[in-house]
Amino acid sequence: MNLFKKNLMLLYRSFDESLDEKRKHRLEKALEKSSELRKEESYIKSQRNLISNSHSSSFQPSFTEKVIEQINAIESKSNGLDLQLFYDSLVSVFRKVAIAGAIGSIAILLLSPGFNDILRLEAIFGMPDFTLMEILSIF
Amino acid sequence: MKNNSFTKVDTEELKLDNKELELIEAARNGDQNAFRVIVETYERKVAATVFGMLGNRSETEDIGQETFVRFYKSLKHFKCESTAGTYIIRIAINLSLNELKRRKRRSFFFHYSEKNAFELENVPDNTITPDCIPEKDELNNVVQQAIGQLNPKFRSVIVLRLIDGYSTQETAEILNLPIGTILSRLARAQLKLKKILEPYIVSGNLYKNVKR
Repeated sequence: MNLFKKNLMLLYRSFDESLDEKRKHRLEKALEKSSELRKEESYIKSQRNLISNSHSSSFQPSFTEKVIEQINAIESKSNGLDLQLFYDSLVSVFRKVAIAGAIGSIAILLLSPGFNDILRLEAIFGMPDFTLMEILSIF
Repeated sequence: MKNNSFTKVDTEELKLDNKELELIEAARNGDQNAFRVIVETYERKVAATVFGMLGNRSETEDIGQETFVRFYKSLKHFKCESTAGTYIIRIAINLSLNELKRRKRRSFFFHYSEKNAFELENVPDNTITPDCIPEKDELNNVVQQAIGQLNPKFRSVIVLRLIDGYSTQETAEILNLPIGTILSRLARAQLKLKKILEPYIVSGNLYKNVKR
């Protein structure tokens, strides 16, 4: 990069950062010496002004309302979703409780001493009450 | 949603008196009016950013709306490490860059000219005198088309630094890039713009309008 290009880049940077004393001094010297660089400086100022003063575009007057409408739509959608999730989790919890309850009830019934006297296997399945010896004697 | 009595405040005021934090907290708790104030406060800046990045097209306003919707969705996670303005503009820039990528993909399949996006709509307005409006339109048109010809990474630094007026440091924060990269992109972008704008500036055809 030749000296002019180096100084030109320094000139561009000087618009967007505060140069340290050394570089500031170098740029000032270069601007004193080079009319071309001074012309560039003037051009850069014009171009930056031109860009900064353009772009007056703005959104429609109803912009804020449209944003709020979208947010309300999201809110109501998420509320509906929350309710559905609540029902789903409720069903899931009840299913687990029901299964656990059924297993518990059966276990209690089977383990209770009085139950064995009331409901015997031969009564349930219509079979005689075999002893172990009787079963073995069959074979 | 609750409605408190927040009024519109300017960006500087927000930064100075912590009103911004108060508004964000209220919006986070479901106060629609607080969020409305945030939208109204940053609407112009978001408009300048997305119009600068995408030109004057129908989807530009949609990107603007999406910016605020995304901000609303991220309110719960917003840690106030940067100002709301910086955060919102970062969303706007990212959405604009995504849109530019989409346009690029579309242009691959369909004949789509990016240049068209930067052509201003000349809406007749009887309240403006005829001697100034064509010049202003011409000015905007040329500058927008010139910016529209830049690569998105150069375009974003020009929009943030020169159109939105953010400092170099803020521009670096928004784009999440080192300051050195921002400075070099700014210099290169301005050199590219010079090739397009120089004939207008040197002849004084446009610059005379800016001075007024």
